[in-house]
Amino acid sequence: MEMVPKDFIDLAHELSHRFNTEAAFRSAISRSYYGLYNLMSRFLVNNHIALPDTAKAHDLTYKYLHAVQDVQKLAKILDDLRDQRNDADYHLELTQYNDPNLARMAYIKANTAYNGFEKLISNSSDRKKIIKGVIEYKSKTQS
Amino acid sequence: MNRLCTDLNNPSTTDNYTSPTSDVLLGELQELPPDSFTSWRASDFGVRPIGLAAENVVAFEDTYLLESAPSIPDEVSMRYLQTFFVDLSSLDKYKHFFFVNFTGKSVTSPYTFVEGRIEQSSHRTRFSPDFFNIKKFVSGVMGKAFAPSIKQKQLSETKQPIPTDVAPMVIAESEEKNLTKELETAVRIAEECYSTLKAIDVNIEYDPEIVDRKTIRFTLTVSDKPELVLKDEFKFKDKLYSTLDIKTCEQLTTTYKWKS
Repeated sequence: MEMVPKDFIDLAHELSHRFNTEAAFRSAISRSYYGLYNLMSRFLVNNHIALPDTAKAHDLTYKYLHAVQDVQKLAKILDDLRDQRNDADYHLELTQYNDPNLARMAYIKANTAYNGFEKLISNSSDRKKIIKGVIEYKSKTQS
Repeated sequence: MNRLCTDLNNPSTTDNYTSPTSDVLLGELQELPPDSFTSWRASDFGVRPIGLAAENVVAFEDTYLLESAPSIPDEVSMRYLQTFFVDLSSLDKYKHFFFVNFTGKSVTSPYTFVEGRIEQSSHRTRFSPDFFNIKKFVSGVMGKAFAPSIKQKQLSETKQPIPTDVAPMVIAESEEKNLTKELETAVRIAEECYSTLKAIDVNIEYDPEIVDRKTIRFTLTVSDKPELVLKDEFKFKDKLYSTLDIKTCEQLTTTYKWKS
């Protein structure tokens, strides 16, 4: 059975609450981001919105969804988490990441956005509205 | 121990002075021979006009200097190995400092004078929140191409040119003014919305994996529980989206530091 992206977010909860190391806190942030990213990007791809096979897909997932008013703020959470994930994975010199609060915050944000987005896309008319918005944005920006 | 000293009382009054960009500033520092001096208006960094002189730039990378300064704020602690601490050595020196923090991401390495401690270009410039100056951030850090200033002219005549691969991007003047205004509004909204806000730090961030993705990041120092901070964040975002241009909102990201 295929893994669901929510599992990453559940793992982020474990990492940020049950462990007490900087590596766990940083990993929680990273897993939070990827849990949400996978939900959002898979939704686009499953609805025939093509994404490239490169890192650019991360940026496009955010931009496409941010262009749709109903999911704008959920997409913004993805963008926030992307920035934090970059720091968590690449900037080991940043000491503020040795703080469970930041990891827990990432988890809460990801979980909130995940649930919100999942609820929206489970509704057929909302789902169509989101896809329509993305297609309009794509044709406007030719992306 | 190398040290930096200051002239707090003799700011230049020349009107055609242009604030140096961060690149110019660093360019000057790395070219300084021992016992030479350079100066900038402290207003470049959002503080009251003072002068600044450096005896030997190597002091900027000396973590001992950070460790030996007990009054520096936590966020400027020696844990930031890539922090440059400019000690304005006066009686109340701890009230008059700025620091510039460069971290590397890209492939070229113009800042070679610290022998790898500053790794590559694509820098992040960070000013103490107390001294943070939005205009400076937009024009200097985000990158406005300044008309050559006196400093820059001197630099080009007497020293090596600044590497072009870190030249700031050009943004139109009207766009710059607009962004300045928008960011000032965003800071004000943050002050209104976060109940335990202690400091706001604004940086431009470059994505290490996605070419061309850069964000304007608000780092908010807070003390509440994450759940409560998130409530404040939702208020902040609601207000941002109802007040600012959508293009600005698209670029802003939010992260946190906790301080009890």
